[in-house]
Amino acid sequence: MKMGYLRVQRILKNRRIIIGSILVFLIILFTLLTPFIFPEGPHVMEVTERLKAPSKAHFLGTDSVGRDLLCRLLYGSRVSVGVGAAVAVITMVFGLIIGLYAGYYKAVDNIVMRICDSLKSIPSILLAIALLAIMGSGIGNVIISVSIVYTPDVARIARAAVLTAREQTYIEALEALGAGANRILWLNIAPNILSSVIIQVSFIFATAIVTEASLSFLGVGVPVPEPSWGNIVYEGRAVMFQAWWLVVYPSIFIAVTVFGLNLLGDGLRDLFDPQNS
Amino acid sequence: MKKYIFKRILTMIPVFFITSIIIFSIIHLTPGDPARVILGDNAVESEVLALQEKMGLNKPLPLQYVNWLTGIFKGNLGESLFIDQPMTEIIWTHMKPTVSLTIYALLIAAGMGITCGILAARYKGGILDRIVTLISLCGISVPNFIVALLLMLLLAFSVHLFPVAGYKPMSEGIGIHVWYLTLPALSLGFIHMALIMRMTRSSVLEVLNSDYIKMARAKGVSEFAIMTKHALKNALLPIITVIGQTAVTLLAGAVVSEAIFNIPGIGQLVVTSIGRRDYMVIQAVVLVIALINMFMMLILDILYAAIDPRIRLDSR
Repeated sequence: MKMGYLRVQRILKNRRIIIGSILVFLIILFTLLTPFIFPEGPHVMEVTERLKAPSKAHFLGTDSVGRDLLCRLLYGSRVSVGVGAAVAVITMVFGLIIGLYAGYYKAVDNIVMRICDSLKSIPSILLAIALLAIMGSGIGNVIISVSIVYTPDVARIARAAVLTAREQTYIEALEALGAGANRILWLNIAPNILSSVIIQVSFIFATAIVTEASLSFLGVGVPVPEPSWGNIVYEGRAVMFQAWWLVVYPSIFIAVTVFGLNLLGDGLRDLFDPQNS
Repeated sequence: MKKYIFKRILTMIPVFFITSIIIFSIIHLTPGDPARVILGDNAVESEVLALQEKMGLNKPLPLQYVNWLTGIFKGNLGESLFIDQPMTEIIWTHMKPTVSLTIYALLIAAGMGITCGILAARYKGGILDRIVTLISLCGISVPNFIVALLLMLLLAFSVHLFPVAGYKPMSEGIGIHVWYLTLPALSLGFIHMALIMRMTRSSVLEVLNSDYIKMARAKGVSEFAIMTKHALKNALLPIITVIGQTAVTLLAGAVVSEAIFNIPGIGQLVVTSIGRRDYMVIQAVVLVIALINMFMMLILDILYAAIDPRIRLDSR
């Protein structure tokens, strides 16, 4: 009975990774294939085809200036997923570096972690808005500001993992053998804490997509006409009651992507870190 | 306990100073002169100089920071460039709708979240549990502006249950106030309901699997008493944590809901201030919300210590 239950649970857990990876893979595939599916780009307007409901000619309908919604959503996925991926990579690199040194050196820890605490005391969306208000909108600035907002999260996780890892006897042995701090940090501790960092980063990937969408929706993120999922909803909102598809389909794109990433993150956590799941 | 509270308040001081430095630098260390950015490219030189004078930008940076900080301690948060009112008054008037909205959303999130979470844990593997798991997965996958727009389409446009947008202050009657805030609060609370559900479920499950619950069962304690007296009390700590964090996130998340439903709260103030490049307002709002956040965290930590003696003893 107990064994059977455990097995079922394990399959369930694996299923999360499988479904999550398939979703994420499909989205990345579509993102990469977009220029081949719609070689004409996301800016083609057909004024006669304004606000057309989904049909065979326009699979998901058209927007208020007659641009094909599917085309814009697919090009938008390059921006939205791109921003998410860039933020994930940047926060991982900086979070890992900060976390490693803060966990290893007490002096660094005190300063860096207080800065992280302070950054986290400003709610994420508000901090991102404030940064963008000053820096101005644009894809690059969105990536920078969202990365600043989420790097402390990765740093904190990495630091906690380092604190546990450095108590292990093999680290003491390495220290006794005279290994340098950098060697220990990068060759011995980093590989051991990478799994917890990757789990956190997979969630940040998802959160960054949501944050970008919210910022663009508020009009401070990726500026129109460059399509991003957030600003497609932003534009669609004005005509939402005549053209529901302009809000519903982008929502589905965002939800499915974020769902896939969260599922993948959950699955990874179960796999790497069964105690915390 | 007193010692713990004192210590906890002491740790707030450096965080407050660093936060204030961060907020200050966001505005003052960005490339370009804020006065020039605010006035735009076509500004006349004399106007720029006048604004620099007004904002105190012609003084050295550390001095500007000290002036700003001492102003805060005197209750002066700076001056808006567009609204001719003291900053504290501007923030206070815009804070009221936001606070109403946040409390309403928190009630929805915590009420639904805790109830469903407990039931899901109690009947683990049942239909309700599956629904809860599904909702909590969906909830964290959907940004709140999307929930807001979908609710608007469904409950305000297709079925005319609630007003599409707008806000009625409490002075026009509590009923109409709540009625207008229902959709915004639902959309704002939904995601956090999902989080609280998830947390409650896992934390109650953990307690239900512990030895003392098995012991209570073996003694023949009724299922109801086990849930209310034994399980819930011990599962409460992580739940309170999530609720506390939720309250703060809701306050900030209200920015988006307010923009959608046209509620004259803090969020709308921030969004319009960005459009007008009224950086002083943005700076003040961010500071006030960060301060509220810090105090909430303080209260939470004190609450934990009151509930769980291990925390206050550990910190010695």
